[in-house]
Amino acid sequence: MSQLTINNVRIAGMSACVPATVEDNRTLPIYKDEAEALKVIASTGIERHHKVEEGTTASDLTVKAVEALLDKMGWQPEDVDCFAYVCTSRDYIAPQTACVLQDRLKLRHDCCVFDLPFGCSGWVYGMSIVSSLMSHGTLKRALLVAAETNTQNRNQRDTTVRPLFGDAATVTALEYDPEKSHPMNFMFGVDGSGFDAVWAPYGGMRNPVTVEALEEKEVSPGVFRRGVDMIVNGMDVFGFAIKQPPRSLKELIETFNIDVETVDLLLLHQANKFIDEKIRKAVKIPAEKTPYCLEEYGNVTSASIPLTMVSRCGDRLAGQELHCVACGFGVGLAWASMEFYAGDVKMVDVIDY
Amino acid sequence: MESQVKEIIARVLNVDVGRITDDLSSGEIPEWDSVGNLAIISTIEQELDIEFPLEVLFDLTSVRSIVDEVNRLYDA
Repeated sequence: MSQLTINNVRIAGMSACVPATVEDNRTLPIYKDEAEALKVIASTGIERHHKVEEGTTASDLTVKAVEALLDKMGWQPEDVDCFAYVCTSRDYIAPQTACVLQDRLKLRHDCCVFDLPFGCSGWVYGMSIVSSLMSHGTLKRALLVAAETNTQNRNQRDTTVRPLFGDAATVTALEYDPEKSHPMNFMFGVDGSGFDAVWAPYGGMRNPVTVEALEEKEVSPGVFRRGVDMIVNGMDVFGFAIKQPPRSLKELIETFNIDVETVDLLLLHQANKFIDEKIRKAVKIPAEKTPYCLEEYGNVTSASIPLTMVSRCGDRLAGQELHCVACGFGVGLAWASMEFYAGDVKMVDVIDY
Repeated sequence: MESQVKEIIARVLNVDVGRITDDLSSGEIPEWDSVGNLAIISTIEQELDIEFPLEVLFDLTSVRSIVDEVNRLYDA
């Protein structure tokens, strides 16, 4: 088991930005009738999601979320020592989107910036990486972005993905603070044999874009895709999601002697409410301590845990300190769990783009 | 119980109950995809007031396996 404990770093602020356009699953044109739509809603818990207009990218949502958070924190762009961008729907193949954002956000030229191309586990991995860099004490202030525009790389005529995924950008401000911080504890996991459970076959170097890869085909009734579109193999993901996240959380709880009675918030990747509820019950944490935002935003991959915190726990996180456990799981297949404390966090309400 | 389970599966998938044979599995008809499978399991849990254990969930992909597990839970 790979485990990690990080000291001296705390969450100081959070914000989120979502597109103003909302797609309601009840009225999606991909279904035969409303009954079919209601079946999907009932089995996933996802009623609607936010969707970017053509031409808007995850980095555009990010700029708005960062500007609002800096304003709330009273930080200037030049105060930021480290900027990490967790995202797979990047602006360009090269350079890293974090480099483009350094200039757009007017961050310092000596700021430590980098992309982290994680999927659904990305916020937890990002927290571990950025906090670890900061724990040495020379990087005092950091911004961790978890953003994704899933609607751009999933075929809008694919009934297996369109109702489930949405777009969002979130920002977590981290601060080096030995006085107010608690240790953060992490557990990690990966099974690359499942790399094709959630993937886009074409568009990388293994299978470059070809004319054929851009042709849309009906791969099964009602499911249209191009080779460059993301595929989600539902049964593979289901099998993974009911197995690894509960195991990872149990390992975290056991390894770090966490008393689950003292946990205030269980923050799960917002994949599917039925699956998440199974995970919650497996670790015996009450429903009232497990917030959801998937009904409103869908699965926003790496942004889902921080978006849940911003949209559902803002007032609580701004107040007294809360004992939190989180688990991100998905693309990779990769997963990660963490324990942390958060309180007196400067929270910005969800912003529309 | 078997007929009740088959009726739920047919209703959830919006197909005639006559198509829900004992050996029918997920993927054999277009309506029974991964979302359909989740809908079947969650509806059965809700309507029959049972809870499938986490460790058997992934195996509940056929009429026979679902009926057997429902019977096992009712007998327990």
